[in-house]
Amino acid sequence: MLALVAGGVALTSCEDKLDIAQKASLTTATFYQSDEDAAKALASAYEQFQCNTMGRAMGPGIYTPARVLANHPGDDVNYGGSMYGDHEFGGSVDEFRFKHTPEAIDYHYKGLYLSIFPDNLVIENFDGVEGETQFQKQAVAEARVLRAYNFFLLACYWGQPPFIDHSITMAETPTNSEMTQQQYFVWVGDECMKAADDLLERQSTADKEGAYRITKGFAWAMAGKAYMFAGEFGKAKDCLKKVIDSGKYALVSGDEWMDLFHIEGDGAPEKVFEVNVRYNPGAGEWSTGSGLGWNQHSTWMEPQCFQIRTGYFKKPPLNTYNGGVEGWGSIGLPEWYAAAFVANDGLDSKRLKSTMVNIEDLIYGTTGIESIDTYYSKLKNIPKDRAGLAKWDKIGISEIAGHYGQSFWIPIKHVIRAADASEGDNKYGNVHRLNNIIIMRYAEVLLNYAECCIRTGAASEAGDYIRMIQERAGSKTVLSGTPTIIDLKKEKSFELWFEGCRYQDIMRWSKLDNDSYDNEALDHMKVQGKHIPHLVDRVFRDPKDYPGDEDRVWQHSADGSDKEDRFYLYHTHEAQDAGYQVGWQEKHRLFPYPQQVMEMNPNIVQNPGW
Amino acid sequence: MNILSGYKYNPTIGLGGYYVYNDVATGGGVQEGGAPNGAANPDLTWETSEQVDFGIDARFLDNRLSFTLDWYRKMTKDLLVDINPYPEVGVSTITVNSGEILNTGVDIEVGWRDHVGDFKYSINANFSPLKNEVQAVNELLPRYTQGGISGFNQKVKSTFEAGHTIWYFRGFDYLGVYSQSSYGMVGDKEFNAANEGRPIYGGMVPDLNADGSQKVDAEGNALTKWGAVFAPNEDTDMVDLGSGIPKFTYGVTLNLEWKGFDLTVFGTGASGNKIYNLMVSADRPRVNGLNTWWLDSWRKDESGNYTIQGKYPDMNYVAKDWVFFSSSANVFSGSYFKFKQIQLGYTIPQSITKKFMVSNLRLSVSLDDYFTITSYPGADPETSSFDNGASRGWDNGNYPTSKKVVFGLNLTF
Repeated sequence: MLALVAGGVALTSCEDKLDIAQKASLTTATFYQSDEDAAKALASAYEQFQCNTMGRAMGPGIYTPARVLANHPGDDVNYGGSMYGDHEFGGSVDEFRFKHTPEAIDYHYKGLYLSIFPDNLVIENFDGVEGETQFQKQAVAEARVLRAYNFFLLACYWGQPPFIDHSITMAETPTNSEMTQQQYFVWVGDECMKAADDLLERQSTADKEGAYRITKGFAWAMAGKAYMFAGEFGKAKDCLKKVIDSGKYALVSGDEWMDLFHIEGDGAPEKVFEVNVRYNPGAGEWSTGSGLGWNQHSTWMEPQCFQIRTGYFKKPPLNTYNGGVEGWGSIGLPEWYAAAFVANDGLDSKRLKSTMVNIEDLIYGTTGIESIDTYYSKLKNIPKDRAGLAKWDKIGISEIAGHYGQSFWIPIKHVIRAADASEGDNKYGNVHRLNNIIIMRYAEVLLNYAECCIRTGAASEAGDYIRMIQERAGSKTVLSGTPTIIDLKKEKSFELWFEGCRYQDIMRWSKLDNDSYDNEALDHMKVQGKHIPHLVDRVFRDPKDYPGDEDRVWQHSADGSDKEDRFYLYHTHEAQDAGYQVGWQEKHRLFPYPQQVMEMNPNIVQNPGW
Repeated sequence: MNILSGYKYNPTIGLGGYYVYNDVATGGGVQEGGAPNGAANPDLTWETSEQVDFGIDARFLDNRLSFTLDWYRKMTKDLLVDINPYPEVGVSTITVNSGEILNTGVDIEVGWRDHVGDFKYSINANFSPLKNEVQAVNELLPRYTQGGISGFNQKVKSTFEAGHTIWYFRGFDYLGVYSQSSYGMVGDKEFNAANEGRPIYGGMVPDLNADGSQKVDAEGNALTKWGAVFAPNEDTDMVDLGSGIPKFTYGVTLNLEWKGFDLTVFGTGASGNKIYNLMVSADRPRVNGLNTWWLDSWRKDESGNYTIQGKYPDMNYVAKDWVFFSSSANVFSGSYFKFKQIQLGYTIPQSITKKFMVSNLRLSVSLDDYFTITSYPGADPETSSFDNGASRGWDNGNYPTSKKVVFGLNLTF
């Protein structure tokens, strides 16, 4: 009897006792009321934007997906590293051998929508509500522009991505947008112009903080860029003119050009909008995503990736320059680009010297950059002339496989400087890169304006602005007459290396103009991965021992017979040998939707060719 | 402030993020942020688990033969899982109910205890086959991965998917080495010597008609079929390589006693489990790791001919290739039988020890964890389960169990 009762009791359930409401918490119903709430919501929107732009919400890593997708597909970047297979995140994108799930594409797609979500929260909770204050209007406007920027990238890379302008739940399965890519760009432009009236304006060229948030200047500049991409050059020109006429932005001098990419250039007159990066003592080494501020680990690892590989040198040339950060070498310059840059700018160009250094100068200590040249000057018994240096074994590239992906010119533009890691006064032990991340600078605005002028029959006005850029750069090529569109394209390629413009531009121009310049660029991209340079040193790797080298190239002579010839290149194509398809094809005009999205969401139509 | 954050069905606003609008020199300007912790899932419900157990306990023949059999079937439903929702929702994880997991098995134990005169002996054996299968998953996420070891660039992931064991290894299928005898696998009409020594993997290939033209479906899309390739594709060419969960575990205990001597032999084993070995790194091929592949690979002599052939390809092609180390070439059988203890003891007869006021004195020597029968090339198949759950069966060089020789002395006064 007792057993029966006991058994009976055991079979009753007490699940209803488990429904307890949560205490002492804010819910979406009670939040989003006051100006304070608006300020908090807006800060979260900026923070998520920051996370997507300089880190990633999925966890720390050695690269930023946003930057890889913006720059690696371009024909002016080689991916590099210790050897084939290292830094695959860059390699698969750089050589166009990805299929559906290269990590960078997956993470960036997600990161963009993760950033759009808090933007939508601000807009839908404060736009047009009863008693909307001026500050709330401003917050809505700033969120609108942040969201528009994200959709600009989404449309650029994926064509017709789902249009999410309000927060959705899992019950609403997203579909591709009905808007074409061109309509998307028009929408971005319209959103920015709509928001412009309620935005703050930068006070003057000296107003640094006016560059750390969305202002009228950026809204106009972004609208101009979006309309230009949409092909509406007249409208674009008007928007960009507003930025120029506002007088709040100016080009810095040629000597200060390099500082733009380092902490000394934070808030410079040339910055239109940049993400403000500050050290967060409360966030741990592996902090990620929002809620903890920002992705500190990425700011450490990315500088290591950007820098030429320290371990492959007999004496690491950048040790003083960068405060001792070890380099992994994930970025290299393709041979054609370095040669074109030298031919255009000349060796005395301030811009060229701030973008790249020749391997000889780097190792012999003749770059003209003090902290690079000093390490070298401390060595003993330095040979007197370059011919002697070409044989000296106390310096050089000791790794016989060579720097993978590097050619004779080594990128220096984005290599971290010692001051960048410490906000100027050497406070922090571990490396965290603290200079601000540029979203747009004035030089891009001027070049976009020049392009719109040329395309609307005002080429001579364009000439003034292109000349401004050239003279500032110290380039030996300065236009005399009216510029052609190819002059503009060349100038843009040298001024804005690794600033997220090249690939987007080539994809656009090749459809719009399809001229010789564009076709040359596409040709470069088609052979990516088929001809990868390895930079080696004859002192440590005697060419006679390696008869199998493919396509050897020297700097001063065709066969290395010149006394000063020390460094040479040989080429490989290991991915292609392993059976992968490399090189650009038409289907690469758009990235594929990530595999996970395709598997989860039956509504999304994959891009053509994928 | 969100004090309780375990309420996944209805997330709250979390404060604590921030953005800085100003420079340090002008006062910091840190603005605290506020954003929802996650996305709501009002459909969320409790995880339930139902288990049926059926057992028999029997003794026969004067308690000499004992027999226990236990059959169980456990079904876990509505497993709570954090998944990545549609990215367009805007949060990185959301908790949903996903998955029905079936765990079923039998525990059988048999024992025999008897004596022949002074000689006593007993044998106990247990045998437990088990089956684990994921029966259903949430359609939002038919397959997801978790666990494993981070910091490597391997492509194998512990995967949760319907129709497979929970947390199975998903990787490439290594088929062999391209050679005079195997070139047909990749569809080559003739042997191409330039590819000799390369690895071949399973993968999707175009489905061709007899005349070589591409087969198409009703809409004109190219058809593919499973074949062999040199460069497998992560999206389409990954297969189930097994899992760290054994098909059955077993153990044997043997006890012998005769005139003060006692011998115990105790061993356990598992079979059917696989181990994915990461005591190797394609990023650093010269690191001190397993040499299994190197010893059995294709090698050229001075004249450039492959005089030595083996199970694994020419290491020049694969030593730096994560694809090779993310394939079945790197997933080994973790079946083992370990003699956990072999102990021989002798109890000095009480008649002698009583003189020293010792009621019991036993000397023993024991070999613990001494002999292991396994084909696993790594350190120790037993400890090679890194963690539990999703990381089971990942071997990152876990410290092996040490072999011990133990001398024992038992005194009772």
